[in-house]
Amino acid sequence: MDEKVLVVDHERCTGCRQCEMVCSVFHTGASNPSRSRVKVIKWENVGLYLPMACNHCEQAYCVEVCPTKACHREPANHNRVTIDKKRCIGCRTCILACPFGHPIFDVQERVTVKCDYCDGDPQCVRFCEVKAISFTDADKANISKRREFANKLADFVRLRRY
Amino acid sequence: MNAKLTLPIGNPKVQRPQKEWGWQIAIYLYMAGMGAGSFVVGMFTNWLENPSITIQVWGFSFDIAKFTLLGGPILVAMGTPFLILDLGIKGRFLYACLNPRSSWVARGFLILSTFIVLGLTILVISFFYPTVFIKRPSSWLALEILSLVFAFATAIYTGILLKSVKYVSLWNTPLLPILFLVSALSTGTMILLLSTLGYGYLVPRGEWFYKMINLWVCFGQILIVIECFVLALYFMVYRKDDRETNQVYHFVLREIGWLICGGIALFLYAYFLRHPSLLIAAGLFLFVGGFSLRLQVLAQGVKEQPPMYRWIEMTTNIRTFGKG
Repeated sequence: MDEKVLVVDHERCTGCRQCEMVCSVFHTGASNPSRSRVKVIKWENVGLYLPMACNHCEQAYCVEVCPTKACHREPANHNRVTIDKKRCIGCRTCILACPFGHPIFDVQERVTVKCDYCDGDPQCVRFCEVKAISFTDADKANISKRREFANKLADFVRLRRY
Repeated sequence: MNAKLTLPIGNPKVQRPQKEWGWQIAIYLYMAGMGAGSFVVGMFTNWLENPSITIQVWGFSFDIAKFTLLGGPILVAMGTPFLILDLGIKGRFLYACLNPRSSWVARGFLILSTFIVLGLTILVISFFYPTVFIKRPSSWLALEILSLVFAFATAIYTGILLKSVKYVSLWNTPLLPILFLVSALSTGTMILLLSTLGYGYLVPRGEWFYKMINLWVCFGQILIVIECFVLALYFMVYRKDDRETNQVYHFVLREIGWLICGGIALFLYAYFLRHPSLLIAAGLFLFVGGFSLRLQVLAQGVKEQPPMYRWIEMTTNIRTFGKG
């Protein structure tokens, strides 16, 4: 299976938090954004919003520090990093180890939870009206990021010249 | 329009100290450190002086001096329920040893369990059969050395557990395990000192009493000086933005304050006034200081800002450093 990743375009995000809503409904059955696996970080004063979900890192610290192996990688399933709720003891070591502020502790289930790509059909991607989040092939995501960076660099050089 | 920003420029959400581990973990680290420290100091004292206070109960002889010296594993065992109390699902605590290859929580579970089992074995045997210390067969000596190694491992593990969290810069320093080790030894010495003082009221004070007290006062003074030095070094190595540095500076000053008060009490006892109240005061200062050290190190653990936040803030000219 081709590896896919979640790609976020913060310039498109309007901060509506629809992604948080649908994520919590899909995973918990409750319309409760605090239990969502995706979090929208806001800089309200400048109107900047950044939806943040797990990055499923190549070298995942959450997998390394988990004492029970509940946090593990599934190479067959988009190489995702996921948490087995039946093994999690809720020690929150993975939350401390993650540099990106994920996973999150579900206070009702008393275990740590994180983005699992909704088993291959991420609801945040499906319901995002402005398409700020996309679920694309890892290679293509990298190419588009490189292209974006090259364009920005070119603009910067052009501005410096004139 | 003269609209003003009502929110601060920085996003304080990403710069708050961690809230995942609280006072329960601080008590767990403190009890584990103190128990292991008292066992280490007690075992060395046992090797150097071999004190013995035998009492007769119902025709059996028990050595209560050994109970004081080697009682550290009981303190460690009393601290472990606090770790379980902090877990989300407490009934699954036995799962916590399944990944010792890369997880320090799992390694700690094994280190502490082994230390408790070995330490309690030594304690029970020495309590009921004090003669084992006179004959001291090689198998007994091997057991003592093994338990001493695990006691050191327990004391230093409490610092390594925090050091393994790479994205909290206050914790990710090799000085933290050293600081926790020295603090474990100093609080361990103090509990030995206070419990011996307690025994002094129950049984007649012989030569052993003053010998032990003088030895531990000397230990305590040396350990306090080392701990102050390591704390100062810890702060000097830690260089972050102003807000974080100020917080750490205040916490280090407070800790050094507790240590200096304890040190002064011990100094006065050793050289001027041999009054037990000075020892009690020194013990209390070092107990409070040892617990406060763990609690503050946990509470001041500010996680570093995720790279993408930093990148976005750089591109949009928002700066969070030093604010919030």
